[in-house]
Amino acid sequence: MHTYIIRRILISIPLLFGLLTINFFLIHAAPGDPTDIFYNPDMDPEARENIRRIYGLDQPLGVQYLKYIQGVVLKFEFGYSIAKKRPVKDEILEALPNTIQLSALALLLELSLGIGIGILAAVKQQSTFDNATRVTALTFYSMPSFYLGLVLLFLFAGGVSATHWFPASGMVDIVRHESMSTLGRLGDRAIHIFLPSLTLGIGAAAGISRYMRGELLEVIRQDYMRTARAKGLTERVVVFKHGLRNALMPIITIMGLSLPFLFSGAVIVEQVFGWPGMGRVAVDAAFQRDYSMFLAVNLIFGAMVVVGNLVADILYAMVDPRVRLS
Amino acid sequence: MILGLFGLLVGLAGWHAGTLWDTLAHTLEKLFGANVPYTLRDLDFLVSTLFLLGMLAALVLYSGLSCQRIRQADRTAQGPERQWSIVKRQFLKNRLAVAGALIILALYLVAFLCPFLAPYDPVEQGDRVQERLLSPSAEHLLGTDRFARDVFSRIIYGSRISLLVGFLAMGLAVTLGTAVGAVAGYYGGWVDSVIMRFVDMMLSFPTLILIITVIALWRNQSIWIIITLIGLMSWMGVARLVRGQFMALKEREFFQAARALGAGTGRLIFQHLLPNSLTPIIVSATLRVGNTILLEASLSYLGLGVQPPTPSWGNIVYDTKGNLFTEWWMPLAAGMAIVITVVGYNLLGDGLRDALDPRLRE
Amino acid sequence: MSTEASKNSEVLLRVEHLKNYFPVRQGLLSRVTAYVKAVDDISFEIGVGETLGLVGESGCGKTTVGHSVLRLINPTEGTVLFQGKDLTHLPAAELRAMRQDMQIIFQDPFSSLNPRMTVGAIIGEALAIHGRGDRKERAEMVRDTMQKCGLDPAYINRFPHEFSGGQRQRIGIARALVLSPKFIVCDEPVSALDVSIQSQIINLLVELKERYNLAYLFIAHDLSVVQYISDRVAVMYLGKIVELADSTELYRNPLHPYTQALLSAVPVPDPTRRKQRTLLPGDVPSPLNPPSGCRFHTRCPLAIDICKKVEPRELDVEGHKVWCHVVEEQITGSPPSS
Ligand SMILES: Nc1ncnc2c1ncn2[C@@H]1O[C@H](COP(=O)(O)OP(=O)(O)OP(=O)(O)O)[C@@H](O)[C@H]1O
Ligand code: SF4
Ligand SMILES: [Mg+2]
Repeated sequence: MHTYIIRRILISIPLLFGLLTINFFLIHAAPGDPTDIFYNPDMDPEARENIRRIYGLDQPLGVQYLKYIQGVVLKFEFGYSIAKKRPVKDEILEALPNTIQLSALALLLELSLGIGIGILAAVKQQSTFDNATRVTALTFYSMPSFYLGLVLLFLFAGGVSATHWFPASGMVDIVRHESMSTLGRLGDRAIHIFLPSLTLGIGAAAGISRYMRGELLEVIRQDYMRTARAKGLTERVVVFKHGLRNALMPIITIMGLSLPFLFSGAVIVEQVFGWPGMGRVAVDAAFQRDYSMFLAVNLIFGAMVVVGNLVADILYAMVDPRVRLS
Repeated sequence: MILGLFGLLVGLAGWHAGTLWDTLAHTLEKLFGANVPYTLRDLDFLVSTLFLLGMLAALVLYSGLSCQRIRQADRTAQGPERQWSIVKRQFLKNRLAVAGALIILALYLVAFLCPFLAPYDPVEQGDRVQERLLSPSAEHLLGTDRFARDVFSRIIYGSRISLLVGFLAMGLAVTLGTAVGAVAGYYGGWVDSVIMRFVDMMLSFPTLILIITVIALWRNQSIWIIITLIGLMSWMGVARLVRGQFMALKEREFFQAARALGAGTGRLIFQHLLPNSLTPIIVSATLRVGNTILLEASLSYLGLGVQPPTPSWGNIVYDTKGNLFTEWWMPLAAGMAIVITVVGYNLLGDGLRDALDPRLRE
Repeated sequence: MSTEASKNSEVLLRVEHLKNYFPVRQGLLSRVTAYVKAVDDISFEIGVGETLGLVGESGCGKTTVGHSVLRLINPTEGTVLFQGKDLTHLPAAELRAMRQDMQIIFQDPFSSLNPRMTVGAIIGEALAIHGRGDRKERAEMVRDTMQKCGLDPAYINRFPHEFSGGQRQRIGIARALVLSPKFIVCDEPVSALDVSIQSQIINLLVELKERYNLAYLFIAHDLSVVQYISDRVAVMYLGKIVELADSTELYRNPLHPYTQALLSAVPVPDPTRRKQRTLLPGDVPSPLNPPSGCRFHTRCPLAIDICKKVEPRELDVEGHKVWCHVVEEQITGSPPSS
């Protein structure tokens, strides 16, 4: 078990380095350079060089690369955002918790909704409930998250005046938040995070419930289930005791695998709801061509995925001893 | 069955040639200086190409189905006709899958017949004072946008982008994934380890953000770049699938038999491994189209996809999202088009899987 | 006296000290921590037109031997001389050419035929690979071979799933036969078939062997099947040959306790000649950690002390070879020693 965990961790390290390296060179292979936004046609070449020197861009690529790695690994330092005029680290530390908050809530929703509906659908296979949820899940699964977001906004945040229950954007009410009581602030936050996390969670839950249903049906058909049934156990006991445990194991993996989708979804959802998280930072960076910000965002999302998968794999190995041996 | 498809193919080829001629004529006209926007004409040609390719895919699909009927027969040892009809019946019984197939078919027809279906030119701007932001009416079914363009026409033409992206990006992803997975699965050993580590790494990239990065830094938002990027970021699942298939097939005795006969690498892969992996590849390809369409739509929604005035469903939503609380029909209708398309592909993929995968059948 | 490759003939295949170890990887760096000794130092010969039966329980390494002999897997050690050429180090091109003379028939008639190919393509593939004839000639050769194997040539364009198990096995035989090889490995060719069909297939194999002077390495897991077809029989246990003798001699006079046990499990046609069934206690040990000394000692009714420590050596009584301390003592009269 220990060797499995250690090996799994050791495999993740080159993965992260690969991520960092590809990102670095990808971004440096791009035409133009980060200081472009300072230039104007009548700037003299010397000033230009000066700027480049200040940001270390005059050094050979290899040196820049090593320095960058050193900064990231030793000091969690991602350089300076030229567009935002502040260290990337500060910007990230501000945005990351917001994204994590949103994603975590969405993950919770995803798992509870997805697994719950998946089980119900599998138990009542071919029933009206099953058919209805299958179509619903498929629809949500096929829906771009921005569309779901816009529909929710339209329905509950202004489009229909009778149901104008939620704010359309932001994390808090900018005007009144400061003057609220602690409880009021909490409520303010909750009411703001509700629609974005619902959007993100429903989309992901649709995928999980589809998967869960298929997995359970597979397990239900297997022999030991038949034996359990033959022993006279009721359907419910059979499904819960025997089926569920076996079907839940792949769910752990799916959880790990759904992280990249969750984060990609977060980028869009943050854009729809004006949520000040990493997704916003990424899109801003895109329009401002903010090199160092790109690197950091890509790296952090990548790292979260790698670590998420690592945790999932280890959990999986704890549940299923066969994994360790292979 | 095959004959019927073949006839269809010939007919389409004729049609295709007609469009080609059309395009050629217009290109000549262009050379001589007529002042017409050609981009859509060119797309016309492209879409018909895709239609043709789609038919080819149908042929492949057919052979995939026949493969399945064979495997089915292994289990039940019934006559071949009966097996084929089982698969067909299974597919037809699944009414949702048929609905999916019909949706896709209808969409292709719409994309193909845009010029006849769209009441207005999708990029031509009307009178910005009087025809701007009109509500739906008999003349403008979905009203007009802030540039006074007919939204309904734009949505009709937008189908081309989605179908184009879906088909080509999926094609690229499947081709790449199959190639990579085949190499890993066939050679195994350290080759496999290296390749699969690389696949793991690709899977940890945040797809959307990476694509955003490249598009933003290279300042290039052409549809071809977008298709390529989406394809390059979506092949990993197929690679895993094909690798797994190959690994399993290599254990089968017919593969050992071919080796014993002295078959070379090419024959082993193309005659024995690949044909027997086709069914799951086709199913996963169908299910993957939806994802690529969603990805393109997301990019467009961020303003980083296909650039206006060329209409795509994603950029129509992007263009009109500011009108959500007032002229809500514009963004919601365009988004609905995306949902319907992706639902269609996913229904079709689900149906194919149910029909082809004996494990899921009682 | 030539003990091996009996009777008349020259040697076709000579296997010497064949070993097949599969590495087991474990730990942090996937270091090889152990080996599955699937085949551990075995030697035998097969003459032109001769059939050697290879018998042993499931997992004792029979398939591994068969595959190594054809170099479908690379042996860990040892040599495989086929018509005097060492296959284990043959370059790929030469090996491919050699494959025309040696073929294999598999156990499972369902997994051994490519479901996507027609019968004609399956049987004709070998011809295509080795560039025999043009399209027409090949089709002719395929029809011809189908006929020989008891298949109606009219079925040439059918797919494997349209056939029954026995017919499919005939297709597999035709595929092996179409190049007119000199040697065929038959890896349990009838184990997966109904008893009623088994004898048909065995009869076909015997007929073909006599007609074309084929040599077989005939693998089976029980002695009754090999008895009829084999000239000589080798008995394997956990990666080693424990006894090797002329077919009639082995059945009449089994020396090794393991062979005796196997024979007692063979149903006896004559009820008056009731033998005592020697039932073996316990399971086959894992080839990952084979017992020391004689590998059979954990289950052997005759085992003595030395069996646990020292591997028995070959004892050759006029071509009847056996590896067993107790038998050696009985026959030579001298106490076994290392
Ligand atoms: N590629 C491999 N890697 C590791 N172990 C293997 C491999 N191939 C075979 N073995 C092991 O070697 C041993 C011998 O296998 P083999 O298939 O040769 O047995 P067999 O006598 O043909 O059995 P059966 O009667 O079941 O066909 C088995 O314990 C098997 O698990
Ligand atoms: S050597 Fe010993 S253990 Fe092995 S077979 Fe002979 S008596 Fe039995
Ligand atoms: Mg075997």
